[in-house]
This record gives sequence, C-alpha cells and structure tokens, in this order.
Amino acid sequence: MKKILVTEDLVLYYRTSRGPVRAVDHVNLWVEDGSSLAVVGESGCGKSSMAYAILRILPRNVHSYSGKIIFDGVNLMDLTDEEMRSKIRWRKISMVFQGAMNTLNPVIKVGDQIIEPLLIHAGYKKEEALREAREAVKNVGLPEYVLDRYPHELSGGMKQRAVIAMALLMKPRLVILDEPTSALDVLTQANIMNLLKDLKERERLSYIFITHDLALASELADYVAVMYAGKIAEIGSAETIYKNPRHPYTQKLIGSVPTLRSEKVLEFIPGAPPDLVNPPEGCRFHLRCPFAKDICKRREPPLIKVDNDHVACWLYGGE
Amino acid sequence: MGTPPPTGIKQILKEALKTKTGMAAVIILGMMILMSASIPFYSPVNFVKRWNDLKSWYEYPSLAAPVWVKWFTGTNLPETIDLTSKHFRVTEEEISGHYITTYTAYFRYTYDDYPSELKALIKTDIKGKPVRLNIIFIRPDGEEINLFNGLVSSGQTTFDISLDPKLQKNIARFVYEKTGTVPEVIRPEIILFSKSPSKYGNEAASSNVLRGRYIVKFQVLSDKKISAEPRFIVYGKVYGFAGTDLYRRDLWLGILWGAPVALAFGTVAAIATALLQVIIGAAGAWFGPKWDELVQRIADFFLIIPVLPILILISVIYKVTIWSLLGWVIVFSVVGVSSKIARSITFQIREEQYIEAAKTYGASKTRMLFYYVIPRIMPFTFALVALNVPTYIFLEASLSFLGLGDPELPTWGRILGDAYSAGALYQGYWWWVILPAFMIMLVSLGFTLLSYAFDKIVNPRLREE
Amino acid sequence: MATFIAKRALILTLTLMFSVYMTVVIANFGGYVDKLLRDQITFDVTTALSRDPNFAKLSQEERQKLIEQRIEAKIRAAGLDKPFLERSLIQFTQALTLNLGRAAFLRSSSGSKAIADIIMERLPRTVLLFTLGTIMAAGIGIFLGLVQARKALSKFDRIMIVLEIFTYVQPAWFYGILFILIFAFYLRIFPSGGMVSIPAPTEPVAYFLDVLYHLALPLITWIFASFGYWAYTTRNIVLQTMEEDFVTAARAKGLPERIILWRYVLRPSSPPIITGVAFAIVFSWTGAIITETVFNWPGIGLLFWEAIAALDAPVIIGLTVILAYLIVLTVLALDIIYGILDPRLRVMR
Repeated sequence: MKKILVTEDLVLYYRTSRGPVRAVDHVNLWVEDGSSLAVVGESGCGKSSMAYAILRILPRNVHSYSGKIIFDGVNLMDLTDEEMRSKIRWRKISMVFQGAMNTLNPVIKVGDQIIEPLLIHAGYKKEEALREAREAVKNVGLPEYVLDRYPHELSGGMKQRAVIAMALLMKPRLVILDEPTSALDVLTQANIMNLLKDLKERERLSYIFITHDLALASELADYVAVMYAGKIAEIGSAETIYKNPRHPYTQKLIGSVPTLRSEKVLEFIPGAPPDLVNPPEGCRFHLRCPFAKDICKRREPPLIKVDNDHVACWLYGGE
Repeated sequence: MGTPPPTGIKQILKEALKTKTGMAAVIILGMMILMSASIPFYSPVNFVKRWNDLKSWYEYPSLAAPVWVKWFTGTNLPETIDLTSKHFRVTEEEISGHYITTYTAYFRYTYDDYPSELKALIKTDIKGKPVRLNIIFIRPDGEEINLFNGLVSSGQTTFDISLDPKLQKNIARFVYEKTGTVPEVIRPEIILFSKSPSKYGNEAASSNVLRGRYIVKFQVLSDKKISAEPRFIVYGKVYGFAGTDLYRRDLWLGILWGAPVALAFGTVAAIATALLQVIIGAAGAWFGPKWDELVQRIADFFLIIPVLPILILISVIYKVTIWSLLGWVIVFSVVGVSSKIARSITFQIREEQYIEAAKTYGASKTRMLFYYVIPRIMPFTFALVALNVPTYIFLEASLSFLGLGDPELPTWGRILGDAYSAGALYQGYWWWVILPAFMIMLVSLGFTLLSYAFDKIVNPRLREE
Repeated sequence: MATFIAKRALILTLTLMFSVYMTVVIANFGGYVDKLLRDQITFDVTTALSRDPNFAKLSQEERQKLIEQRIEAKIRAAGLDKPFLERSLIQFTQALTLNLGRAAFLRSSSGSKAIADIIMERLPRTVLLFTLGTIMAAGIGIFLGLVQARKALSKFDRIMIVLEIFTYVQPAWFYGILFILIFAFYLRIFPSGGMVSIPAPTEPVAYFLDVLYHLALPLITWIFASFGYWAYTTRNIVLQTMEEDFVTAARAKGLPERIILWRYVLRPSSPPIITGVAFAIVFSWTGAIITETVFNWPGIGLLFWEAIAALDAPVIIGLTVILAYLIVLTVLALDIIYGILDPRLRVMR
C-alpha cells in the first residue's frame, strides 16, 4: 500500500529561556493511504508539536525545524510558506484541534467560519459554499441551523462535530486529529469516535489521530506510533502494538490501561516524564526502564524492524 | 513548559532584583528614599513652617538660578554676598557729647554680572529718640554715593535699595553727574556696579561690570553710646542646587521635602487602595452571586463618578490636608481594576481541591478568604500597585498645582503651581519648573520600571524568553 | 440584546442620579453655598435700599426693620429658609433635569448669566481639543500596539513598553507646562496659550488657521500623554488573542495573514479595547480641567477652574452634572457597541 505521508528525521525545537526544548527530535513515521495512525504518548511528549511540524504552524520561538516531510510524493519542506498556505493547508491536510471550545472564533458565526476555506482556497461564491457547508454539517449529524449560530451557543459535542465538518469540507487526503475528544463526556466521545470511523470508511480518509488515551486510540487505529520524549519508541500495526508490544514503554502503557471489570493488576511507570530541554543520554527511556542495559545509557537506539513492527530499543538487536 | 511563577512577596522581590529593569528601579527609588532619609540631617527643623513664612527668607535672592548654571554658561554669575555684623569693623568717635559710630565693611566683587538686588539693614536698640544714620557706598573707582541719610528708630529697619524710589535720589544724581541725563529707570544694583552707567540706568553688559574692592559704611550719629548690627546684602543671581523661587525660598529644600511627602502619599494610597480593592473583589466572588452582583454594581458606579472634579470641589469647600485628601482618595478608589483581577482569580481558586478540603475540616468561609485566597491574589497586583504610586502622586500634585492641596506642605505639585502662577513659563525661570518636574519624572520612572519588572515575573506571557 | 441595554441604562441612570445628588450635597453641606447666597442677598438689599432716597428719611429702627423684612422676603423667595433635605432635593431635581439656573458671578461672553449659555458656549471647544486628541492618540497608539504585537519581546517592543507606561502615568498638564516652556518660550514655535490670538483675525480662513495654530501645542501634549495607554493595551490584548487556539486553527486552515489579522485577531480583540475607549474618554473629560487651565484653553475645563476661583457654586454644580451626564451617555453608548461586537455578551447578560 502506498504511504501518503512519510517523515524523515523531523526536527522541531523551541527556544526558551532555559534552553532549546526538543519537542520533535528526529522523528520518522509514516501513514498508509486510507488508514489511520494513532500517535500515543504521555502529555508533553511532543505529539501536538509533531502535528504543527507537519503543517508548518510554527510559533515565534522556533529554534530548529528541519527534516523531510514527504506527502503524496512531495517534500513539504521544499515548499515556500505561501505554497504551504495556499496549496497544502486544509486542501490536502487539515486538522481538528484539541479542545474545540476554543478553536472556533467566538465573534464569527459558525457557518461563516466553515465556509472560509472554500471562499479563499477554491474561489466559491458564498451561496455555493453555504450549500456545501449544509451538506457537510449534515454529514456529521448536525442540524442546519448550526451554521447560523455563534460558537458559544453550541454544546461541546456540537462544536466538535462542526470542527470536524469544517476539517473535511475540502475533502483533504489527510486529517490530523489532536485529542479531538478529550474535553467531551464519555457518551459524546463515543458518538464522535463512531462518526470518525464512519467518515473514514465513506470518504477514504487517512488520519493521524493524536491522543494520550490508548483505549480510545484502539477504536480507530490501524497503526499506532508510540512517542516518548520527542522520539518514536515504537511504531507498528494496531494488532501488534496492542497484542504484542515490544518496547518496554509500550508494554507499560498497555499494562496501565484499565479493562472493565477485570482482575487486571494495573501497572504504572515509576519516575517522571523526561525534561525535553535536557533529555537523558542514550535511550530516553533508560532511567525508567526495567530492562536497561549499559548501551542504553550511552547510545540512542535506532528504529529496528522486527516483523511488522519497528522498535527503538536495544533489546531487539542492531548493535 | 517553564517554571511556575513565584509566589510570596519576598520571592517576587528577589526575582525582581535579578532583572535589569528591577535593578534600575531599585537604584532610582533607593536614591529617593535616601534623599528623604537625609532630610533631618540637612534642613532646618521647622522647615514646613519656614516654607510658609515668607518673611524668613529675606536673605536669599529672588528668582535665582542654580549655582551650577555658571559652569554651563561660562559667565561667572554672582552669588550673594552677605555682609553681616561680624564683617563690619567698628570705630567710635565722640565729639562734644555726640557719638559717631562707624561700621565699615568691604567686599571684593569679581563676578561677570551685576547683582540682582541690594539691601541694607540695621538693628539698633536705642532708647529714646531716633538717631541719624548715613549709609555710604564706595566703589573701587573711588566714587562715593550716599545711599541714605536720615533718622532711624529702635528695632530693625530695612532699606530696599533696589526697590524703594526714595533711596534712589542720590543714585540718580550719580548718573546725572556721569552722563548728563537723569535716567527714567533706576536699577541701583546695576548702576552702582557698572563702570560707566548708561543714561538709561539699566544697561546690563557684563563687560561693563566694575570689579574690585567695594566699601560700605554705616555711620550712626547719636547722643548716647549705641550698639547696632548693620547688614548689607548684595544679592546674587544664582543660589544652591536648585535656585530660588519668587519668594526667595531655596528650591532645593522644597524639592527635597517633596520627596518623602510624595513617596509616602503615593505608596500608602496605592497599597491601601489595592488591598481594599482586592478584599472587596475577592469577597464578592467568594461569598456568592448576590454579593458579586453588588460589588459589580458598585464598581460600575465608581467608574462613572468624575473623581477629580469632585475632589476639587471638596478641596475648595472644605479645605483639605494631605491626610484628609488621602482619605478621600481611598474612599473613591474602593473598587477598581485590582478588584476585577481579584474577582477572576477568586473564581478560579474556588474550584480548587484544597479549598474543598479546608471546608470539610470546618474552616469558616471568612477565614479561608483571608488566609488562602487573598494572599494568593496579592502578587498579581504588584505590578499595578507599583504603577499606581506615581498615579496617586500626580493626583496629589494636580490638586496642589491648582492651589487646593495641603496648604502647608511644600509638595512638588505646589512648587509647580507656584511657578505657573508666577508666570515662570512665560519668563523663563526654567529651574523653578524643570527641577521639580525632573524629580517627579524620576520617581515615575522608578516605579514604572519596578512595575515592568514585577509584571515580567508575575505575568507568564512575558516570561518565556 | 434589548434586556442587556435596558439593564445597563437603568444602572447607569441610578448611578447618575447618585452622583448628582452627592455633588449637590457636597456643594451645600457646609452651609457654604447658603452662607454665600445669604450674604449676597444681604448685600443686595442693603445697597439697593441705601440708594433709595426715601430710605434715609426713615428712623434707625425703621430702617433696620425694613432691611430685615426685605432680606426675609428674599430668602423665602429663594427657598433658603427650607430645611436642608428639602432644598437639596429641589436642587437635585433641577440639576438632574438640566435646569441649571443662573450663575452667581460668571457670565458668558455674550453677557448671559444662564449657566446653560455659559456651558454651551464653551463645550464645543473642549470637545474639539479632547475628542480630536483622544481619537488621534487612539489611532497612533493602536497602530503602534499592533506593530509591537508583531515584534513582541524584541528590543523595540521592550523599550516602547517602558516608554508607553512612563508617558501615560504622567498627566497631560505636566507635559503641558514643560512643553510650553520649551516650545513656546524657548523655541517660540507655538503660542503659549489661549485659543486665538489677541486681537483675533476676523476673516474666517485666517481665524480658522489661528485656532489651529493655538490648538497645536495642547493637542500634541494631549496625544503625547495618552498614546501610551492605547499602545500598551492594544499590544497586550492582541498578543493574548494571537495565542488563542482559534488563531492557530485559522493558520492551519491556510487563511492568508491579512484575514487572520482582521477576523481572528482584531475582531475578537476589539471588545476589550472598546472598554478601554470608555475609560479613556471618561478620563479625558476629567483630565481636561487642569490641562485647559495650563493652556488657557477656553473650554469647560477652564470654566470649572474659573468657577472655583470665583466660588461660583451653581456653575460648579452645573458643570459636574453635565460631566456626569456625558460620562454616563458615553459609557452607555460603548456598552451597546460592546454588545454588538461581542455576541457572547448578548446571550449571557
């Protein structure tokens, strides 16, 4: 199967008063066309930063930004900012943000915001755009009147659906979803997940689904990439990751997920998430890893292919 | 990402000192405080009284520029030469029952410009009838002018040579003898000190200044032995660090005294109003929606009241002192920006866990407010408090400028107001305006920098980087 | 929306009424105005009678009685004999309905003693100077604030912040006296005060230019003293908005910078900036007093000062009431604008 997105050595560091924060530290991942990749990890491990890196939404205090982002055969890094803006963003790759509470402009009607990309990127007239928008919101299960409302007049779930509708409006190839349901209650969450699954089938979308919630990710993921301290620890098919995790960190993560009504002993990972300004030497995880060897302290492991899985761990050879 | 903001007043102050702006602020304000503290060593004890007692300044020149002006203009501007009784030598003669007591003093005049004013004084303790006095002025070129010839009685008599036309007859004659015309305007301080008095009597070319040794004689003719204290003052054009005002007051002392008043007023007002605002704003948010509404209404109300006009009104009708003014200012500032800040932070805190916990062990709501909530709010108001100090200083200065403030204290605003009323702006008495203004600006700058330093610390937005 | 406006209007009206009543009370409480008016009446009566040739013909006692009678009558006519509460309420209702009465001492340039005339003659001049000044300061300041937001935390930004706060903390009259000294006295570029030269040019264009010439320095002073507030608050509000998620989302949508700036940064920022306008306008009305005095600008600020100097209480009360009205109306208008700009408010309030 073709890969719609491949990143090679993607780097995004931020400048702060304490030194550069290595949020995305030489990340290699890929997304198969028509599939969804879940990117999981603890808070602050660099997941959201990676999404921004792909779309080149950079804050003022960028320290380093480099690597390759090959999307549909084109290296996005080679494009100018203007090309990125007018050709890629929203048309090819769109994004659903964390906490839709604040992703919508509070002083503009929802409908006007949804049709914006159509008016700007595709030169639609307002009438046609609104027609499309009505279709789009129906597709996500929202009533038409939503278009006439202001964001604060909608519930959390409605807003999130509206944001999803907005992300799909231009029929992008890839949709990045950054914790799309973290601020919602469980019921609404389930609804949204079903919607996403449904849309993926119908529209043949590719997703990058970023979350800290492993259980949630399992609903939607075809593939899973586990991030730790700005680096990919393991990346493979969902089957593999959930049934047979190889990286010690992944194993711990899977072990920490509570299963309903079972006698499972919940594991936890001792220690604290690493500081992204001064990450540990060698393998980032070695301080908290029960299997840490000598080499783990000295050298960073590369991604090693093991069957259908890729693991960044010295346990699996590659010395 | 990033370290959490420091809490606690001491920590914040320490952090503030680390920044460049904080350091600068502390230096400036430190100087001010030092200035204020040095006052007791410096100035006369009853200074405030003295400031308002215009008669006590008679020995200072009027509208004199600061001394250091000399170094900038290059001309050696005259300073005051005060010949007190100890400068005079006494000789006594007795001629057939009459006593002639002569007091002689001399001075060297080497300046490049004329004096601003001349005055002669004599203090006698004669009992009985008045005695005859002769004041003689002898120039280096030998010319002798009789400044006064008449009777004086017991006590202190002042001769305003520069201002009193009666004393200028002889001077007019002197000019007439020299130039052949009687001048329309007689400026004794110029004529007596010029090489060749012009027929206008008021020429001021510095090249024309007669330098040399001048002699002043007071001759007293009396029946009995008398003792007298003569005095002759040749007023200069420069004085002190900051010059003098129209009323001859030493502006440096006035400015110096303005510092503690300004600092005290500003700081007390700023801190008191901040405290009140925080308490009220937090209490409103803390005790429930009804109280909150009430506080909001009061806030709206206070926003609309035109504070300055009402303060002016009060000052005019009821006459304020600096303390009552402080009281009124605080009353009008009971609700404000800080109460809004307090309110929003209180709302956040309400949700927090440990407050729930405290409630369970029975702490009263009020106690919780004062022990937990308000201390957490205070650091966020520091930047505002620092900025409010100069604001209140200016409020007081505004009223004093109009002549409505405390009638006794020499505040900076009052000095500026005096300057303005005396037309300093239109006559170029710049030191009367610029120096007090400079002091106020310095204090403002100090607090602005302090506020900026505080803001950087407490406000996360500006912290990263 | 309607309920919102109605509620605000009600609250503001109550506030207005309270301010006015308080002004009346303050102006009268010390018995000050009373005494003034009584003295005035006594003086009027005595002088009037002493001019009457028949008066001298009466005996001492009769004269005394007549004087007292007349004074009593006048006092009753002026309502000064009523108790304080009643009188204050009468004055209050009069003031509230803008029935401002007549001045005790001052006059308008046309000679009228009606306070309304005096005030109306001067009000436009204050509006000219301070409204123009505030608008220009706002324009310059907001623009500067935007530039600073773009270059946030640069050296330029940091220096400007200190400069802005510093200039703002100091009142306009303070700069006024300094600028007069520098520009009027030393450099002689601008006149030192007044609105027109003496004698004023009669030809309209020349007159207009003359006013402009006199307007320049006070205007510059006012702008210098107020731009800092606009710049600093704009900078902060815009910066805060720029960090909002919906701005990042707008970037992700590939919207051009121009649209992001207008729709996603400025539009949401404008409500809090508008509150700033309210504050600034309120402030400018009261700041006008001393600034006008320093520049001798014949507006209501200077009128206030003259009324104080002349101890003309009715004028002072009238002015404070007008001021209160102006402030209330401005705040109400701005509240409405705020409601229009920020849709969140219409539902919540």
